[in-house]
Amino acid sequence: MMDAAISTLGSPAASGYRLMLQQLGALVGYTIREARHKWTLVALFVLTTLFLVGLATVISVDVVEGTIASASLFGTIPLEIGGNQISIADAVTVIQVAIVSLLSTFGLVLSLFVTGNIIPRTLRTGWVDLLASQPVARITLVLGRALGAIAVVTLAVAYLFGGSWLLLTWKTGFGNAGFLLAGLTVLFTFACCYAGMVLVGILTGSSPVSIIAGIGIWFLGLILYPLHTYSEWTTAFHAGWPRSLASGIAETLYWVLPKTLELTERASQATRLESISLTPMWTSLPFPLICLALACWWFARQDY
Amino acid sequence: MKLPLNERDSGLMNAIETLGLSKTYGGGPFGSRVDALRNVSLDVGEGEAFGLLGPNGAGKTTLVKILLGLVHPTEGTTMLLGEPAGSPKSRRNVGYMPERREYPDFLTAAQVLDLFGRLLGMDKRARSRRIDVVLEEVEMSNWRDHRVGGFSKGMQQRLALAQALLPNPQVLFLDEPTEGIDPLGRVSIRGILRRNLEKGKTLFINSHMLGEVELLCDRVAILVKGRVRREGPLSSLQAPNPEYRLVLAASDDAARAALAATGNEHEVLAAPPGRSAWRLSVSDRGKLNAVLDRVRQSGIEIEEVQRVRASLEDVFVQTISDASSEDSEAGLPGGARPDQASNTDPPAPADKPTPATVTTETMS
Repeated sequence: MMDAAISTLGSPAASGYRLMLQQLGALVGYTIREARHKWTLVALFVLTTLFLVGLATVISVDVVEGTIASASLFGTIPLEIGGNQISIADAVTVIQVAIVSLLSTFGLVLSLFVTGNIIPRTLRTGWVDLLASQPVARITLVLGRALGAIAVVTLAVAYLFGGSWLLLTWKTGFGNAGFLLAGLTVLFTFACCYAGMVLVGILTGSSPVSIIAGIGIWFLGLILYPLHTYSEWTTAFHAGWPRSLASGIAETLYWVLPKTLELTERASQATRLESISLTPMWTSLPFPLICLALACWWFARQDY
Repeated sequence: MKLPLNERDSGLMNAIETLGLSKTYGGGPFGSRVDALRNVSLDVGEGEAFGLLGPNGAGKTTLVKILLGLVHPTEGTTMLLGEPAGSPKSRRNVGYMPERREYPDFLTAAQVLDLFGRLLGMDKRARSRRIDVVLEEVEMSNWRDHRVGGFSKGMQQRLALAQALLPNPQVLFLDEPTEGIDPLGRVSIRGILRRNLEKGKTLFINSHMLGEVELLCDRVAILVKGRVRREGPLSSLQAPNPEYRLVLAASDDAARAALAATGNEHEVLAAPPGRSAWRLSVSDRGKLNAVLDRVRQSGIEIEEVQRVRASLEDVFVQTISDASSEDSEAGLPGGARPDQASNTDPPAPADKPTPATVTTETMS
């Protein structure tokens, strides 16, 4: 009947998968618009622009016959790298690894912080009723908003990595494709942590709790890797079941949660154009998938 | 006996059907159990204007939310336009104007409608045309590109109506559609709803504004503590036992003697000097004529006969009172005790000329 109603206006309504894709597009678009109006996106872009301007003005590089003849801060303070001339590729890679490290820590936490309220805001009384009373499956609502948040961060990451890459390529003539791959790895790390935030957001409806959960997941990933690698720490516990329990908890969490430290390492390795193991990626992947599935399942059975 | 869902003698499909619908909130180890709906069975025909009345907490919003898939029923079956209610498909031809809504304040009216149009699956051209149509319909065309954050309550109400009308729905659910609106705005919204009714749309109005319901609806149900206590066409609810006001050219004593002989219930009313006024309760028109004949035979002249019609507000208040008494007698926990009477939310004042708790019509 809806089809008939709309067709009187000369255009049939979408249905099936096409409808779902259109609804996802609408929700992603709305989330980006919301981020723009709530200054989230603007703040990310202002910060990124300041960083790019800094990168462009602070570092001056003179290239002579494929090597850096001199490097300086603000064109006046000379920089020596190990007292020797270094290749353009090495210099650019060092700068890009520094950017990746900054982004994988400060940038990722900032991204989790600014997107933490997207799901709780969807659950506001008076708004969730309106959305859920539309011919939209609830799974589409959750996925649309989650994809919207990832899209917001993707725009910021693309601007930062793309901008830095273009700037350094333009200044030095060396384009490092590994740096762009590192950007994707950072984005994947964010998506893993954000999926946990989505689940907590759906369960609690609280922005602060969601943000704490997202940052907590990221932080646990940082500390679990050393615990997994160096088992000596368990000697702090009495031998027997306390030690087994502590070790078991740490190992379980290590395998369940996203491996954020290893993912950061992989991003740096990608920037250095080293061969990288994809194990941290595929062992981290079940976490966001299970979190999103649980979030959709829980959201679908709630009364609003 | 109730027919199975979707099977009607007339062959016409009901727009809305519920059968044995119950909803219980809580009841877990940490929460108290609240029976929001108990065995509710309702049918609303296509093109009908149906009013759902009840005090606060009666379960009205729960019922609407179950029909829209926002709340999951504990028991029972619900159908919306022939589809099981709750599925996205059942909501494709439905408009919903909730009582409480929070549109994003940074969007303009057109952007809000565009978002909902996209969720409905309308393409860009259809959305653009439909947005123009519905904004025109609710007289908001001039506010198309203004942000919702700056809208008054009345304007937000109109925007909500526009959003409900966007899919050109077959069924419109309206939760307190005129709440907080000034009298002129109410007239305007009522006009919009009437026009949609004339187009064959089904209206399901959930309201405290008894006057509005009285002016718009063909049929009402009164929900008290999750149960449907009264249901039927407005006219039949308002006149369960017809009552008449008689003015006789006689003394009270003479009139009393004549009326007593008829065996019908009667009660003396205040009357001008030399007249006698009575409230007479009879089961049908034949009985009324028999009483009038008897009065004439007694040599008393009849000066005036008026049918006294109880207003919807009277019916509403009486129904709630009866429900409380029944529950108290049955010892149900939900039965209001006399000391709780003040806790029962009174119905909002009817939006009609006062004093209008009793309306009269003169028999010709």
